Amino acid sequence: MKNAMFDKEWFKLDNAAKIYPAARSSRWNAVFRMSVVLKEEVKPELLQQALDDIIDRFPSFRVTLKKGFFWYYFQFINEKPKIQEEKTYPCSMMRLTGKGYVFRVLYHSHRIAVEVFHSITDGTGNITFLKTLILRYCELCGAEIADVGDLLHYDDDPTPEEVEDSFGRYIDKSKGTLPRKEPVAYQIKGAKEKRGVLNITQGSMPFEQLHATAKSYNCTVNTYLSAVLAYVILNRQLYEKKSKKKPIRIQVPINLRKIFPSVTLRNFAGYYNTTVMPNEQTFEEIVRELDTQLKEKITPDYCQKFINSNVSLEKNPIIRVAPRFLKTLFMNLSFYMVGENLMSCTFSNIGNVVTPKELYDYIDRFEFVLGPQKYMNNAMTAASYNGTTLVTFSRTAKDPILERDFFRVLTEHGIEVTINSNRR
Amino acid sequence: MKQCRKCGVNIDGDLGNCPLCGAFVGEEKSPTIYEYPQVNIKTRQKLFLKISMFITVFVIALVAAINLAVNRTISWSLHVMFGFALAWICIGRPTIKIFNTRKHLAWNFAGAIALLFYINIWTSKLANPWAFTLGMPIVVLTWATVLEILCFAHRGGRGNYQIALTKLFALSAICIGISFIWTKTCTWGWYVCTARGFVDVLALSFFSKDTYFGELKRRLHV
Repeated sequence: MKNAMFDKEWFKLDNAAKIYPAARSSRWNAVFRMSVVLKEEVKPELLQQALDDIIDRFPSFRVTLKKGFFWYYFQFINEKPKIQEEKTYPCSMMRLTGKGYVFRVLYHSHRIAVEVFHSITDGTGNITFLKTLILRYCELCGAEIADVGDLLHYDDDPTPEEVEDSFGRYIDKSKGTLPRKEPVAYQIKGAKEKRGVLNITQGSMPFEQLHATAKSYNCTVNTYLSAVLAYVILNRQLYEKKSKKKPIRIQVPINLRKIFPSVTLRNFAGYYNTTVMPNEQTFEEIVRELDTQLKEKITPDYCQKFINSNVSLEKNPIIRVAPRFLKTLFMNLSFYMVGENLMSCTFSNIGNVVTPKELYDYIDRFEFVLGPQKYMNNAMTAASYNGTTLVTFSRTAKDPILERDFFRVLTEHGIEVTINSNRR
Repeated sequence: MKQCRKCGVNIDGDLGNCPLCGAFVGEEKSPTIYEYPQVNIKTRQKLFLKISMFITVFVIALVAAINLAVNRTISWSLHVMFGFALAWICIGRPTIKIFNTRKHLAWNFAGAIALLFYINIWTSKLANPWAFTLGMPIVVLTWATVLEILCFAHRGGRGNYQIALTKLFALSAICIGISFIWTKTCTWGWYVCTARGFVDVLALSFFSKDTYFGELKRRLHV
């Protein structure tokens, strides 16, 4: 199928997307989910209709992954995607290469979830897709929305800017690249669950309480949550009494659209690794340290260098002419060396999700879940909606060490936390 | 809403235990809109076991039938049956029951000993040296090494102990090998194994805060 936006049947993966098909394994394939919990049970027929209506609005989603000789590429699909009832654990393995879509829309009870393979979009793109889907679903349920705000409406036409590879647009080689060498970080280990099991633990809390607590430490909510996470992991390492102490490093994704103007729905995110040294520190010291790192080091200059580093690797002539299987080997190795082994945990915060006020009667909360990680056992996310913040831990280990310590610290700080889990 | 006193958090929905610490929080069930589907995961391991079981039964039936048809009696097919039974006892049972490491080792060790005895009886040469004089020390040595790793690497420093014990294992295996090649017996090998046993007992007694057996029980979580 030829797509009007690209004027051809296929298109290249963007810069950040290239690592995911190459580095995937039998346990990990870079799937993450955004979901919404409705106040009423989901009506599958209306959801299917909503998906049919909006899918043409997102041409970059209407694809399947194909193997080329040099690179993987996306090919457009003619058939419309089908919604599925959720019957497995969140972010379960997805068949990527073949004829099917590389995203899925799931429903169960009150929840609608969109799980995507990271190569087609990032968190911002996925939440935009989900919001448009919910908007259309609520319209079909009878909601009358006067002003959709900055949400994409299914009636509008897609623009070329929405499907561009913004990494290519913003490369500026004169600004230099980032050094990649960092020491290996401490990770909480533990007995692993069976293959395919992902334990989800969610803690919801009033945003106002969280904000007030963060303010009492003179930092933002994002910094506060990162600091609690680092504090908990640091204490865990000190408790284990290992002779060789490793630094604690929290990976914080950066939405590059906030620095470089872009409306792309494909990948355009970077990350910054905040580091805490493994010596005994008070919580206040960790907050100060992370606040300095997040405020002073995440600058347009850092983001520019991040883009340059990523793109220069892709443009390397030796890498370009190498066949795909060699690239896969190289990328797997680099993912091992400069990927998850350098991190203790990932913390991704999509911030406050805004919808038209009319949707407050339909939506209870938005959820953000990261799938199983390749080497780490834990990942943490946060999403706020209508005055409530939801912190979600996804874990492939059996014991909830990290989340137990994390939520205990929050309750000690006076925040009222309500816990929910997919484990019975 | 239910509350966990240990963690200080509220528990949503029909959860009877705190998802963070496992503490019991109450039986009252309240409906929730946040529930996830209940998943019964079918692992590859289960499928593999089912296929293996089918193959076992099929092969045993087939060899027994061939044996009966050709020799009018069941003779050599018994060995095949024993082989499969041993494999299931040593590998299948611990896998199905999801045993811990200690039980795994115990079953595998018992299986290895049974195999050695069986081979000796089968070959009708109890004087055959390799099964007992070479095989047994190696089995004991492997077992002792793994047990030592479990004992000493109870908390922290696991990597160091593993490396040290692996070196010790290699050294002992070389002693057994040389002893067997030179004297056609494993006298040296037994000496090394016995000496290591003494060292283990001494080390554990020296470092223990309790009695020797108390410390051993504590370290093995018995």
